Amino acid sequence: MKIEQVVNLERNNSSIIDHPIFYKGEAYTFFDQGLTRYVFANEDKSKVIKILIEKDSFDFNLEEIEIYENASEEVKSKMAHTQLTYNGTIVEQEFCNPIKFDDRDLSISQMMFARKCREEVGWNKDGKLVCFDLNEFMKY
Amino acid sequence: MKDLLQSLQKQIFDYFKDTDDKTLVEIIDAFVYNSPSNRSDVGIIIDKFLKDNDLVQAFINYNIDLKNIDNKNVFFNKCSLSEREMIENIRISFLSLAFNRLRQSVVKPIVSKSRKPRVVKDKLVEPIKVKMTYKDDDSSDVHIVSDNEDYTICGNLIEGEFADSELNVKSKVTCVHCLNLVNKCKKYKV
Repeated sequence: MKIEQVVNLERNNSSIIDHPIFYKGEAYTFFDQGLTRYVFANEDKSKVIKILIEKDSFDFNLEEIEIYENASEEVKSKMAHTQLTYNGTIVEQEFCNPIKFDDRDLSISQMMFARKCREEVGWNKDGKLVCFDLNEFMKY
Repeated sequence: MKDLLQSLQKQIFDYFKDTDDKTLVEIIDAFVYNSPSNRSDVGIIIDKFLKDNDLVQAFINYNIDLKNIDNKNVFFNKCSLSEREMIENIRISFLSLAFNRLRQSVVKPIVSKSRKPRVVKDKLVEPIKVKMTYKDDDSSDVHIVSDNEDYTICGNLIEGEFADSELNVKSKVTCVHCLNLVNKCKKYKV
């Protein structure tokens, strides 16, 4: 399925997770799902795209990019690199392996950071723990 | 994902593994029971622990909230949910560390050097070796000899067979006394 087709769908029902999505010349397959968005990852696990489940509800993709763009450089360093594409419908983000899928030990300060972000944090390619769900960044 | 509380406890155990029991008691008094120590080094250790783990602000916020715990208008409004949870988990971990130390001092590890006799209810149970002896043509003089005692057994047991023969003795023994003795002896290789 091409990304243009996904963007033009009225509602993204759960069947889209069964198919790869072609985005910027790469095939993205289903990786995970939150309450509001589906997440697809490319083959070499360097990037993900986030697609809203309900298009008519609150736009969590837009909120996420606003949080990222309004953050200071210091705060951004604790976030996965994020950008909005396809006229603000798709969030493209650097891949980070969520701690729920990873057995690496966390230090006490990393545990604290994870709890502050409702455990929506993961390890990026540089081995740094960053928040990937920016709507939850340091809220708790 | 690893269990966070378990992981936290492991890190607290590691961090304080070289701290002696007396100092640890003072640290726990101060951190868990809010009873400050008179020893200056205890305060320094706690400060270092908080700084090493980026917990200074969380600890300050927690203690401010704790002072106002009876005031429902400001009930835990200074520290965040995650800060409160972390400080409380650290307090639990300190108690867990204390119990671990206690357990180590009470339960000594079992040192196995060589095979020792099995002890059941304070009684030493040694393996019993049993053998049968008899004189030719005198079945009344058959003895079952154990390490501790000799038993005389009636002639029914062997009835013309040699003592070292394998017999289905149970079917040939009619004397109750002998049967009991045979059954007892059958537990051991004769």
